[in-house]
Amino acid sequence: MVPLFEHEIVTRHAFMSAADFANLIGLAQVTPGPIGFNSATYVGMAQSGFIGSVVASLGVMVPSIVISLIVAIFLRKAADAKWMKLLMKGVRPCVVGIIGAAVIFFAKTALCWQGAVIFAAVVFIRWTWAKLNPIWSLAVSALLGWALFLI
Amino acid sequence: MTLGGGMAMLPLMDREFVEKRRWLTPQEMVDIVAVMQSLPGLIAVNMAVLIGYRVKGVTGALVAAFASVLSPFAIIVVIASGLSSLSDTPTLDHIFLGVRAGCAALIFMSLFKLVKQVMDGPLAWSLGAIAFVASVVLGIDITFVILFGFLVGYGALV
Repeated sequence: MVPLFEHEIVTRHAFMSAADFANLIGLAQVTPGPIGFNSATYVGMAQSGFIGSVVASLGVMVPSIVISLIVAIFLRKAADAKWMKLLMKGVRPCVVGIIGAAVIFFAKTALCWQGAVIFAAVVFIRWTWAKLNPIWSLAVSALLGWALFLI
Repeated sequence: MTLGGGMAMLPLMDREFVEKRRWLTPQEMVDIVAVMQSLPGLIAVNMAVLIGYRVKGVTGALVAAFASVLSPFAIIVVIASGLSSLSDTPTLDHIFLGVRAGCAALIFMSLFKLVKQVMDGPLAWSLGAIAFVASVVLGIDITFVILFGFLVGYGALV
């Protein structure tokens, strides 16, 4: 989405400068939520205040909602069909493979001894205390990230 | 489409929707991950619509979609209003590094559980291995990897 945004926002409509856009993407990345959504809301806000941010947010959401809703309705209709079950038998292992890839993706961005310690600590916590909310594990990770670099 | 975005939500989905509320079976969750990752648009919104629809129809889908973006919306509006500024300090970098390592660990645990539930034979294992290598080594877009699984399933059909 980001290259498309850059083309529309910086090159075509000149809503903001290239440097401002780079800052915006940085901001959209560190704030929680989808990057596409965050940057749209931010540009809307910068352009025409609160109303602008509402319009921009809706604009970036509507296609997702429409497409997903159509697919969800179709999936429900087809859920019990035999062909659907067979197709999903092929898809599910691929999803597991992709989830494995996501582990590597995240691990690569935290490649240092502190990262390894945090990884091991969270695996240990979840292993021994499965009922703990994952959010708390992430809070512990954030705290460890801060503390371990003070050493 | 990138790997990062949607997958960080997986451990939370697993916990809230599968284990706690029992809205979805683990298989249904895997199906939803496949669909939400391959549809265009915002992955979080896709997920909200797919799960919301399954639980409470069109109303559920719409409520979930708007709820999913409410907190990011509020945060951005506050930051963009200049009420607070978020600068790139080393401390913040370290905290986010910690969160990413924690994410890796949480997704690893989810992966472990799903392997037991989904991988039921040599075909499944080979498909999983191909998908893993395709994403990690070859950097192939998730949509194509899922399409590949679809085609193999289709091959089993005819």
